Amino acid sequence: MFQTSQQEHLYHRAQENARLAALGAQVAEEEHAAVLRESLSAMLFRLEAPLNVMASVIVRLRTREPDMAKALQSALREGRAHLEELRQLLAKNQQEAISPVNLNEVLRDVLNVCTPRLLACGIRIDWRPAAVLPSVLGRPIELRALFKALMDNAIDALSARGWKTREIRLTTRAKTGVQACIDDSGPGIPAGLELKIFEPFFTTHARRTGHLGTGLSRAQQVVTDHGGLLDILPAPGGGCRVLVELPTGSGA
Amino acid sequence: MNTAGMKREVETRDGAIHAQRHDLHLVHLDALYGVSQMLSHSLDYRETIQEVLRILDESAALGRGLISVLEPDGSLLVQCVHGVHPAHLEPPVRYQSGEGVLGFVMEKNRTVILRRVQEERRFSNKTGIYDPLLPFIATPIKVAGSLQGVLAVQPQSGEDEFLEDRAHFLEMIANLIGQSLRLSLQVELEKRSLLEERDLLRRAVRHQHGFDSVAGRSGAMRRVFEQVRLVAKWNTTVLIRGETGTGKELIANAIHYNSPRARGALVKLNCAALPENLLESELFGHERGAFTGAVCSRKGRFEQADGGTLFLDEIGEISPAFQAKMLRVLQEGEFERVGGSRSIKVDARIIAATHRDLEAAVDSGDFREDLFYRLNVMPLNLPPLRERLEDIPDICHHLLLKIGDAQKRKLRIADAALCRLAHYDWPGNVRELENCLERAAVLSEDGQIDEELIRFPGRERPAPARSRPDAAPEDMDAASSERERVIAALKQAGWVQAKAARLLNMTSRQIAYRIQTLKIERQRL
Repeated sequence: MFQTSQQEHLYHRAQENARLAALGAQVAEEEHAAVLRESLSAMLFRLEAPLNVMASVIVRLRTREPDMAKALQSALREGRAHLEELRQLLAKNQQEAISPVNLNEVLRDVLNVCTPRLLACGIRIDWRPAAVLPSVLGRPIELRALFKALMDNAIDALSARGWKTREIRLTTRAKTGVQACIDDSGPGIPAGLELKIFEPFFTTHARRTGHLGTGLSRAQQVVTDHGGLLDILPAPGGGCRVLVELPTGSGA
Repeated sequence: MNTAGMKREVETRDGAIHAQRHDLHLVHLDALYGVSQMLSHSLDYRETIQEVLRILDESAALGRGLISVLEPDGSLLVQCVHGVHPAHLEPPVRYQSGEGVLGFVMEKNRTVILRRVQEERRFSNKTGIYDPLLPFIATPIKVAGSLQGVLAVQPQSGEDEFLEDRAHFLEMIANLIGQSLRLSLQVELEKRSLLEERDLLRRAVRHQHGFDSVAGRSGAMRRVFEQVRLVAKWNTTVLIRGETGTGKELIANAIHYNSPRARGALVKLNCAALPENLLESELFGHERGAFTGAVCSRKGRFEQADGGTLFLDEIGEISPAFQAKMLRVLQEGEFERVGGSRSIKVDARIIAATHRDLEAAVDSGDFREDLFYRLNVMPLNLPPLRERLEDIPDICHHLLLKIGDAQKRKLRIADAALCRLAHYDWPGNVRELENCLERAAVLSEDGQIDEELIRFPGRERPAPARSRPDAAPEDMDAASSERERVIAALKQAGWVQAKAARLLNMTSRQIAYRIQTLKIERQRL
């Protein structure tokens, strides 16, 4: 009798571990795809600027040097066609369906996935979900990626060498929509970078650490797509507070 | 001898106590001075009470000072404890009436003195910082007789004979704090409600100006939306190009409110609306005495847009001299106020818009080539309505909701009317469509817009209205007054001023001036 219940217990634990591992792998894969997509679309955008300047120049050149303008024009056309192909490729990535999502569940999944890193960095987590949280209409995978990116940012901020207080507080509450709040006890955002940090490819880490710097720009995009607001504020008692506010299904 | 000796002993003891008490009073007076000075110091009450508690600790040996404040729900909320970082008061420590010693003080509304903390069962020590062997004094903070909070301290000297004196002193401090505490709490409360309102409004504005405010599913518009989404992420200067009435301002709104700058300001300025010298002081601000009437220095729109977005409409209308100034701001992000010498740097994203053919303007020398290159880095071309006629039903429904909101009734449009709308080439674009629908909505009695209510200015006018000539304004005879000329042009342009201006060979500034001086009312019929 005892034997079986213990076996059962072990079995459940193995099952749970397998679920977590699968979840971790899935999240990592989604994240990889999202980072690639974001980087590509950011690069597309960046490439557009020089082409636009070329286009402006061509207009002026047409009267002065028609032959040169013609050559440039065809080069420009080719470049634009390549970009357009790439754009089509990106657009084909069909979006996931919108469904009611409970943010508490999303955050718990994210916490589970982040647990190894949190343990490795010695970060204390203070998880305070609202007891009752209305669901939001959204894309669960995107939302999970959003909070994963925000959590990673918080962990990065805390794992600076020699940083003593390592705490992250995660709160959800229902208040004109649904709010999720991530407070870290890190050094906070350096003054003057409050807007810059949202730009794609902007990172406060050295390049060699492998940070692409798409985290916050992806986060902002997901929040905007969901009709919500993303705020980065100084946290009470120092550090950084990230406030995500999403409208509930009933509309706000 | 014996009695005399005893008496003397008592006297010396009394004398010693007296002297000690005197010293204590001096200490208290000193602390009182410090507290009174602090109270008149700042409006930030957290800082103030922290300082007050620090003075109590350092000057009067009353340590572990604690201030709790009565909340609207009737409980006491611990606001500040000396020597404890505010972050450690999370979650907030609260006392209900009658709960613990603080709750007891609140309930009885009088001072409580404990000789030793550990002797009092009631003492709950929620904050966990009080030494069980030391005394404890808690006194109510009253405003106009009613309790507003509780001030508590732990004398650091152990049990002594002066606890009553200390309690008396603490009551004085509580009385002093009361009024300023109330004032600052009020300020805080107001601030909080203002912040909440700001967030609410910000949300509402964002909702109004997001993508929802731009109707259209045509391929051309979808491409624009995609560009807006991308461009919103970067701080690049954007140039929105499109005919008048294509919704350049809506797109600027969408860019701003979908960008991280959404929490900053969106400042708008129509460059064609102001004469040059005014435009300069409006954009860059001016210092005091920069020109007659500049009685104080003023921030320009650029500075107002710091951390936000500056929308410059009709950028094609500025003079070459001003273009040079703009170029410098765009290149270096720096400018000086009019009459000022200090360079000001701002972090503002610039969105410019124009309906002009800038390439032609560059060719003819009206527009600086370098500024054109600078602006045209990220052009967003808005398609004219005639190139996206398939969007007309969507736009109509969107506009009718908006017009219906203003008229407080529900508006419907007949399919035949939609069909008629789709067979017009809309020189004034969406704005003309909006005017047309507004006119039709006013004419409609029951909120149903039928085919015959759709009228296009300048053609297909019902017969009785033919009293005034409808031909192009150029054909009109010289006798017709300026006023009629302007009105006719406006009608022909569907009351789009910029377009009417082109018909009359005027700048939009000139026509705006004429509309004002000739007192031309915008007609709906």
